[in-house]
Amino acid sequence: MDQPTHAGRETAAEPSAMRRQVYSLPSLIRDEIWEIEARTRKAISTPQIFSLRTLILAGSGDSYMAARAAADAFVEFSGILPSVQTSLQAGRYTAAQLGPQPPDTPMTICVSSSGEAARLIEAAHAFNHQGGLTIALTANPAGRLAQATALTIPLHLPPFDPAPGVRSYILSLLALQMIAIRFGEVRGRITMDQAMSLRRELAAGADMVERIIEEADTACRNLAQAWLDCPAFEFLAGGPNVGTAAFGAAKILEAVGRHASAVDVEEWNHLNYFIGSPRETATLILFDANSAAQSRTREVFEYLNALGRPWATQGSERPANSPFHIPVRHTLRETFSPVAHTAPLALYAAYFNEMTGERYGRGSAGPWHHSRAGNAVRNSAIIPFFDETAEEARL
Amino acid sequence: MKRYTLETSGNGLTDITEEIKDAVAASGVTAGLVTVMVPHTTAAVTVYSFPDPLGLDDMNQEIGRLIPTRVDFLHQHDTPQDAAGHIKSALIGINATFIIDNRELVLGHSQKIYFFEFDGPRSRQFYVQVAGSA
Repeated sequence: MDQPTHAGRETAAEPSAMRRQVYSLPSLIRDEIWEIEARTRKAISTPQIFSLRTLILAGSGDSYMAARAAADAFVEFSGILPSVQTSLQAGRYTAAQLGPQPPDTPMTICVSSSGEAARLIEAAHAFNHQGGLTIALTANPAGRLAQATALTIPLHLPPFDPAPGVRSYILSLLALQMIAIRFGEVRGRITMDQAMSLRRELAAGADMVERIIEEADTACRNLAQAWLDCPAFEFLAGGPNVGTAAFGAAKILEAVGRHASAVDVEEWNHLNYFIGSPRETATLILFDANSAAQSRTREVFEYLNALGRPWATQGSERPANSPFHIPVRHTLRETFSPVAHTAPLALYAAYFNEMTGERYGRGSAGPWHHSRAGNAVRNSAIIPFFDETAEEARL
Repeated sequence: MKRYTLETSGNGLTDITEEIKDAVAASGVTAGLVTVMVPHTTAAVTVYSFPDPLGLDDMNQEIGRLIPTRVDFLHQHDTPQDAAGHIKSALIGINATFIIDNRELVLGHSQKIYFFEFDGPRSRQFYVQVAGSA
């Protein structure tokens, strides 16, 4: 594949639903950020926050990625090292392996915008059974997940035209970051003034995301044009942006149905470096000047050139040897930087979708019909793990 | 009225006597009253013995023993330290009035005026109002 050029197919005259979702992010953040703060502040009591011994952030798809992107905030602000788990891992493995625990242990924050993900509902039941404290973080407070958990933190997600989730992802991410700040504040790890300063930093993200979208729009479109015929995509990042990179890969899968993956930049050197078709593997690297991974990431550029991979960078500063760059000018600390990087990744995927004419999620048609209305993930059989009859059924 | 700011480094007492003296001197009042007011609900103003600085630590520790930072306060909007701080502030008080005589603040030989922080470190302020005859 060639490096990006400005030539390519035109996009639709009117922005697609996915692209409009991206453009709506600044106002969404502006409208919801302090409501999220109020809800996360009140949902979990002080004794519950103090009794926290083990924290699990569980989810699937975008929700898992949001948890991955927010995990470092828990470490930095509250000193709590969370375990980020897929719904399957949480419910069918961890809950069983932990065995009976002290009261309210583990605390599991179950992230699902739809509130209907079967595997996560199953996990909530399993942790309840073990005496854990389960909390639903969801935009559907009347859904089955919220009914299964002890506590619910409702997110207000105004309706929007159906498209691969962007707005839901950013709300989940912000809510988790707000919870991390709250845990740090209540446990005395940071002062109330510091906590408010961090919240304002997140709130200021609305204006920042607005500017980033304006500045990155053309570059996202040009990159989509340049890599239009690429069969495979990789997103590289370090730290919290490994979750963001996974979100970027997810949007490619949903928007155009091509193979896409996300890799920690160090792990890439151990694994994906060896892909046998480097010239057909487009590689987008999230690169911020203030990133703890930046020196390692710079080393990778040389390898990418040697491999002949089509590659580009996205971040706060264009590296000297980057062949193409999506500007994401921001001043956020690295822990919050996923907020800045999310919109351009979705924008890039949206343009890609418009240029290919693909239907989101292949329209849930033909061989993909099992995914219609979320059927494949919502209607999977929920197994009461600790029910002996069900145990037999599983064997 | 004069407004002063300070950055507390944690919980405890910060000497603000010189600021009060300066406010009195600047006012030109020869006889009257000076009031110090702390516009916070997790801080206070008080008078304490200054010759032995360890006494200040005693005061801070004792108030902590009297109203410990507990997790079971009903007020959970902010933090346990904040909830305890509200009670400490109310008990110690957020204002104090002193006599001015012959252009000088009247204090006992071992007395100083202290800003008492219960939820530090924080950015804080206090007001000083002087009233009387010139």
